Amino acid sequence: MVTTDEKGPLTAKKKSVIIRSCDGDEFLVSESAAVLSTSLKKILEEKEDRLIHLSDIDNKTLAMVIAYLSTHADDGLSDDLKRSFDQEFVSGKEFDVLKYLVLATDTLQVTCLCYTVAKKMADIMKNKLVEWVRREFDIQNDYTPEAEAEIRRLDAWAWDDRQLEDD
Amino acid sequence: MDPFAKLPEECISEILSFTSALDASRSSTTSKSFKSAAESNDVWERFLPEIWQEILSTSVSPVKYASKKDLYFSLCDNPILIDGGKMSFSLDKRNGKKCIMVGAKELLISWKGCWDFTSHAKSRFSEVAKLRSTSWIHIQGKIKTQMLSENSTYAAYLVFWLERMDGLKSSNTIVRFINDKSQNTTRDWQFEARETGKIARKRMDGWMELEMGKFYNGCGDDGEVEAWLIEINNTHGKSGLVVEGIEFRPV
Repeated sequence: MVTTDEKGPLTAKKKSVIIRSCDGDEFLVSESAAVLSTSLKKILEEKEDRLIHLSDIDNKTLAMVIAYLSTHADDGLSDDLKRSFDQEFVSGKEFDVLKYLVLATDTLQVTCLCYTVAKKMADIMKNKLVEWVRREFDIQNDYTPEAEAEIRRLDAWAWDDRQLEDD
Repeated sequence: MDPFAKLPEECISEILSFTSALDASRSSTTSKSFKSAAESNDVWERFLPEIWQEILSTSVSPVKYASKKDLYFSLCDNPILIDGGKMSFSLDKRNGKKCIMVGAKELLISWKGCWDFTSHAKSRFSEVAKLRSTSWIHIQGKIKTQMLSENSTYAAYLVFWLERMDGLKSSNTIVRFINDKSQNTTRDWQFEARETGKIARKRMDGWMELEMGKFYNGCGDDGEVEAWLIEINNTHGKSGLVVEGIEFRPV
């Protein structure tokens, strides 16, 4: 899977960069889009090579981040359009997908997207049971029952007559 | 293969900072790492009002705190006196919204000669207003809406104590915007007659309170809101009312 209309192996043109995901897919990205990521900007400043290998971002997640970067690098789009793109971007995405996205934006230092994704995840998390949070974040409860009860007791105010959801 | 099933603490903090004090506190029971993420200063700084430093700078006595979470709960549980002691400031624990009580000394109280301004052991303010004896009561408190949290429904409460039940049965209250330039024709006056004794409630701090009315604070640019309490229908002598102030807090 490659996000370019060219056939055959990619060669980076002037003012563009090739970014390779951990599963080997390559994406041709304009430099103006790539530098919206603080990490990519640093890499590009430091090396001549126009190929960047990201060893911890998979192709699906990378494709999404690049779509975001390209949209935000497009001078022809108004800020309003970019904002509605951001909303559309996160709407309807599974929590798991958002998890990979927030991690990728953290690694790539794309602050605005990181905020947008984190906010969406926060909205989904609201009023959810602790069991839901553990499941969706894939977290083991490492408290003893006594320790958990104690923490709950200390924050008792947060547990008053709340209707929590598990889906 | 799932190389990044686990989010690092900083990502969890980032997410939690978009929730609320309530959600973040509850999430501490998820796991130890979650608790640590939920206690970060970045998270709690986001729950504090944007102008928290400015507010602390107007505090009458310096506010000490070990962390932003510590500061948040301190401001929820222990109101601070600001603006030379004219009003007190605290936070709504659930959502970090601003609560302000205007002290008795700053209220407009008609027939002031019938009131004593004295200290009170249970009051956060240096002085409260104690009604000696009068037949008419008219108390007004006002606040600049920019001091309150935006996009929030607030209510004004008379914070008081009755040393004895003497002639005070009912009162009228009004809460309205003063000089509402933007919508001076559409905003209705809220005028409600109530049986004081029936709707007064005991507060956590030992005082009683009476809801005077609600209003919606949009962008905080509606100028000032005023809350009145009036009792001029019944001309029997009244006494025993102690007023600590008028509190504006989110509902």
